[in-house]
Amino acid sequence: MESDNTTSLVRINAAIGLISAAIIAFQLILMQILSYIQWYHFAYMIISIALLGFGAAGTFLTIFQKKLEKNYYTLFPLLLIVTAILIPVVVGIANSDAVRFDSLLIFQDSRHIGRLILSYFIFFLPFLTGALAIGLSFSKFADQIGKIYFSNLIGSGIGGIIALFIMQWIIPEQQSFAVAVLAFLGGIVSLPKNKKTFLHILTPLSTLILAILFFYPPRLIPSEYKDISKTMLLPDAKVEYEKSTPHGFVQIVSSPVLRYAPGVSLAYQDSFPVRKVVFNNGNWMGCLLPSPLEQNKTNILDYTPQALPYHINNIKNAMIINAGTGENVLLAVSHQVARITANETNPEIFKILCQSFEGFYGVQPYETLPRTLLTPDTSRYDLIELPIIGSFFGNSGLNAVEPRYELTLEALQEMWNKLSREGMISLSCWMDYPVRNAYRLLSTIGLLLDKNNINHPPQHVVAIRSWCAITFLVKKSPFKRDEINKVHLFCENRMFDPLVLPGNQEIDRDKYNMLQDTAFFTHVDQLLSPNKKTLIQQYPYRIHPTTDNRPFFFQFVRFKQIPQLLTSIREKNFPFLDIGYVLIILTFIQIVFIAAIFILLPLSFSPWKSKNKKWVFIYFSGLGLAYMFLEMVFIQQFTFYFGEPTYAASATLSILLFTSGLGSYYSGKLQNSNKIRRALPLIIAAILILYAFILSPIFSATIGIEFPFKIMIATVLLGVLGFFLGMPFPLGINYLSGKNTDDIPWAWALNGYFSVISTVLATIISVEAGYLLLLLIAAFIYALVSIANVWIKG
Amino acid sequence: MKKLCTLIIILLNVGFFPSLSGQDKFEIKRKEMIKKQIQARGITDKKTLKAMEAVPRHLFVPEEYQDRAYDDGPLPIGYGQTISQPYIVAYMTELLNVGPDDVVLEIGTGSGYQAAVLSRIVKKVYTVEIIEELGLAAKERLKTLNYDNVEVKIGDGYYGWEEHAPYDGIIVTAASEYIPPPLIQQLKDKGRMIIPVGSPFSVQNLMLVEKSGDKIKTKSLIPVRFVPLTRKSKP
Repeated sequence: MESDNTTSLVRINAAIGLISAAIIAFQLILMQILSYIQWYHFAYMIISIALLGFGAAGTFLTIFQKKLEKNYYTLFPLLLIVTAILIPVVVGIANSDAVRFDSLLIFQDSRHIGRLILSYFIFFLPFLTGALAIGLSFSKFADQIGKIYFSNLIGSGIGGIIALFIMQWIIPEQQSFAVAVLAFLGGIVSLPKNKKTFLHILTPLSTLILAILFFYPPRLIPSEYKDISKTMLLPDAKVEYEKSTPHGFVQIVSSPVLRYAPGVSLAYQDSFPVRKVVFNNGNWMGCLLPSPLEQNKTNILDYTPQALPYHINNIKNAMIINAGTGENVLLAVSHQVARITANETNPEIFKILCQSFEGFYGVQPYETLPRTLLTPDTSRYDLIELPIIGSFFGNSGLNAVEPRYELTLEALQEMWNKLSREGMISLSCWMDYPVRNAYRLLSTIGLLLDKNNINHPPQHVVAIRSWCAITFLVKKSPFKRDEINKVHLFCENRMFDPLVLPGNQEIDRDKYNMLQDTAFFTHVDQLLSPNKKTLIQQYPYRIHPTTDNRPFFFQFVRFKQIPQLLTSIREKNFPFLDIGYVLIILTFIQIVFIAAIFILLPLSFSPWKSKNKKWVFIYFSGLGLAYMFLEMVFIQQFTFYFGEPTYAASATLSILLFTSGLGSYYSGKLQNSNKIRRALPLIIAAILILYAFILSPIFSATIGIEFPFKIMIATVLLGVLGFFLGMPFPLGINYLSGKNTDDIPWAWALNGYFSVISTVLATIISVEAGYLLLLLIAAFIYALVSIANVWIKG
Repeated sequence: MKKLCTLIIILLNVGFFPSLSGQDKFEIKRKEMIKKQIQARGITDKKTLKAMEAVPRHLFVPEEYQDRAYDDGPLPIGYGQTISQPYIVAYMTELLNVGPDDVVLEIGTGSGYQAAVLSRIVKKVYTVEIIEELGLAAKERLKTLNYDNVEVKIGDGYYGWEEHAPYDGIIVTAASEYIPPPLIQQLKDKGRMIIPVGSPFSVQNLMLVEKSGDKIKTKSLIPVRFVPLTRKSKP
């Protein structure tokens, strides 16, 4: 029978589900908001620190457990309502003029370091209060942990799906409000029948605050150094269209001075066209193209190095990879290519692409990732063209850990297999200095040719260079004499220089575009020679070919270079080269440092007297570490499988969390013995080792099947694992509830800290050693968790 | 003792210790900048060094950054723009290779610093800024500091400044992914155009464009700053 000052467990469970959903949804939405106003890596850095709120909640509970548990029925709804208010409020405060920081100014202006730290603290608060409510419930209902943890996991799974809906249908400024409603509902659901006076006041007051925040949402101002900010400073610039999507915030901007001519030859003397430009999360994506029928006689794109393949062969069937708004498609159309297959993953950009080529029956666009399109395709192509890589201004490595599966050795092999006898793969990159993009492309091309037993690789490669870009053509059959002559002619007419040409003749490689650092030419030759390994190993940057296991095309920093780059930051002489990976390392250092302080802090208040210190530490930190490793591995693997990153991540997380929730619920029915706590992690480790061998062949065999069948396969693969993954944590907590309840908050704190450490560490390991190793490390940790049970005393 | 203290205060008030006054402090910093950042990196052109020494860089940066005006790095000036690292300004000026009879066009006035440096070397500097607020502020600043041979126009740099063409040299500090044909047309035969390429706080290379009749040649040059990251020897 429920007393007046308590709340039923059913309602507590519902509230736990709601707050868990709110926290996950807030995390995803915050990531999106911060990616818009800053850059992805800074978003990653802030969120990681904020998530330490979970660990900090455990620390807080360790110190004040008894007091807090005593007032549970008042505190729980109070924490939920406070979280609800904090969610939109922190977004507003962090975006206010007094607090807002600029990522690029952190290294220039110490005030922005202060603002960054303040932002950490501000974003940390709702995670702390939300996690406190969840952790307090774990501790209060430790004997019912299976059900509570079930609600937590199911709520988190639903939160991920809700976030997708919010990002799709609600404007960015009001998204945090929508999330807050979930937490607020949790607070209302969990109010005790006999409400205390302050709760009587707080409930309508918080409703009022949320209503005000809904009608006067915080303004989101992107960094002044983002493309969108600079564009909006142009005369008469205006946003013509904007739409929030789970893939980013898409905006289309017009201005009478916004021109489009990326890397056009200096020989082009016509006027450059004014275009509307498309931005995603404040970054330039492409432009709205004219109808192919309205094209000028002189096609501006024909004056870029990417036009080369159309001038040396008659292309009838082309595939345009990651077409964006369709520049390369337009180029193919202007050269009367009869059949053009193109892909684009971002639905909003895909819509633009479709609109641009509506009515052109030769153009067939697909809304999917290139590999999903390539693998089942049986056609043969005369040309497979990839979009230009990098950025004219250098991208500062801000997309260092974004996997690029279309640029891996395996992807190029699939493209090679789809080429017709005279077919070519076209790869282009902006010139960078120190040279990285071109070398990595070339080292991958070199390995591709080796793998295909091409005896004379230089016979199959042509490269040309403009004042700012390079295009590589890789041909299935050797280039012929007349094709080489056409390359010469193309270069001469456009003031480009040949860089790689088959044959032994002397070529003038810098007739029009000279380089101060002529080592570039030697390096290019070496990368196509049998001696390429020496350069790949000795070059100061990582230029080895990327593979599906390590698909990070834009990560060039060698681990040993990190101290040198950190010194450059300290001396404020940071050249913004590959900053993304450095930021991840910095984030990791910060997290370990903060986590260590918070982990040690409770020990100074109440020395840890547990009999099973070692077990608690290894068991719960191990579970936190390994579970997140697996989330990272499976998100990456299933992104490749589903062919669509956002929904793949969402489906993977949801299936894992739902089935883990079921496992947690089922764990309540198991007899909680040392034997079972030992056996379960071993079963998980065995499944993981099995997956390390079977996942890749299963994906390769079934990548071409219909989407619903893919979902079924994913549900089976992830579901079986998820079911077992959901059991060890509640069983551990349940064990503590019978032995030493004081250890429960501590166990929850450890789990929280190591989950956050895990997300960043997983990124570093996957960059340094690949996903396969990450999966095997997770298996090893579960084995360790199993072994840890031998330390249980009593 | 009391008398001694009073004397020190009086001496301070009358500026007996000149090293403590703001203007001189900046002059010392400027000299250090020339020696340690510019000459040390191989800039030898006397005209450039003299001009860099004469222009008070601290008056071209926002007030809150004045103390750091002579630091070895770029600084923000608002509107997503920066004032380039002193060495890059010197390197671009030296590369432009212009003299007292020459006329120079600058696209992207920014704070007006590059124009001020050039104005000490050439006959006339024409500079175009598309962001009205920046352009007006630079115009006012250059006028106040008596850089009378600099003309600022608020407008679209794509078209250059045709009335005063052809130019002996052009600097395009607000680079896009293209070089506008009107700028090439407004460059004199044998004239030079310089384009710094890189993200806002980093110039990774300088593009030198040379016109010779109908032919245009480019050269990608590497600022010394980036050498240590790639290899030990000089390129």
